[in-house]
Amino acid sequence: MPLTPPSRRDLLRTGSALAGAVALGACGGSVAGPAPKARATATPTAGAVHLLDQALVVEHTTLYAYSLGVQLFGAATAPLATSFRQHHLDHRDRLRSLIAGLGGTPTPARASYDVGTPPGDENGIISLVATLEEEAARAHYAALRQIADPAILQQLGSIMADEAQHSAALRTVLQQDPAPAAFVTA
Amino acid sequence: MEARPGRREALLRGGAVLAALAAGHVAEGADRVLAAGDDAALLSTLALLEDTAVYVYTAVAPRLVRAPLPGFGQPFLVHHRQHRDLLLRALRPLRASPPPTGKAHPDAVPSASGEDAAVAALLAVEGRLLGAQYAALAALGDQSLRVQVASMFGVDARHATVWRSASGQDPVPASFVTGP
Repeated sequence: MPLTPPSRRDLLRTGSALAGAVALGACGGSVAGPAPKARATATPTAGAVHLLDQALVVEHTTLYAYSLGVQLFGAATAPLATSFRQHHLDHRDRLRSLIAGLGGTPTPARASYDVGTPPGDENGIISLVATLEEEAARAHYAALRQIADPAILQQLGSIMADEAQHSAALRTVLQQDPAPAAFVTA
Repeated sequence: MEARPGRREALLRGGAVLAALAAGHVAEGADRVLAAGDDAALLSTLALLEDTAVYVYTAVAPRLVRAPLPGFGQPFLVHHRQHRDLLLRALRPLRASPPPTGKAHPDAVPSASGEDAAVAALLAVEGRLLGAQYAALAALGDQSLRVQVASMFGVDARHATVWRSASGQDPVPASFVTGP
């Protein structure tokens, strides 16, 4: 499915962009556990694939940002960055699997993304990835609001909460409030 | 797909869960949710877990002394109170009786004094909530309720990160949040 790769500004607008998307057609039921397959009974609509693909592009963008600043992280923050990057690789793979399971074609990663001025020091890279993690959590929340299949919503919720945890950890490093609100909002 | 239980069976199971909670039995949140059955019982279970969190935070937050931990106790307590209240409001359209809240949950509060025990208790209560909320995302029948629970799930996940870090653990130990 062709999608125009978004810039960082586009990502900031992801919530509203997702609002008009078509929800997954599906019935109830619960599937928990490690297997990330979409249920075979889910209706593979273009809208559902689009929502998951937007989430995948968010992961591509965040991975790109981490790769920009690998050498900038200090001894104390490098382990966090390494771990969080691996989490995003896992998210990417799961989203690809979900999209493929619905009959879609996952958007491949581009060579680069517009994430603003490249950071020049540790504080700069931490601020950048903290911002992107926050945006990723909000974007995934915006997407899951449109997803009717409980199993897929649960998978995306699991990723959304992980991005929220990354944000909390990075905000703590920046001496910012790690949990500034009682509810996630889009 | 496994058939959803009949309403009477679900209510009976939900009642059993509430009775277990009232008796102070501590089970993992996910088990409670999966046993609850229907949306009203699920929301009641989640509300009681949030109420337990309110109780635990109230009891142990004064034991937090190392900066910046004392600054987190009160705002996180407020978050849990707001979550509980939202869940109770969500129960009204379902014409379900609200669960008894504001009760003591002494089994969830450590007898040992000191900050380490306090942090462990806070992490435990957040972990039970995360397991319950994750299970509820797939178990709730109503889409708007799933979204509301997801909104709380993302915030309680942040709380858990803070307490893991405070206890010297990896703040984000897994790629997917599914429970404790």
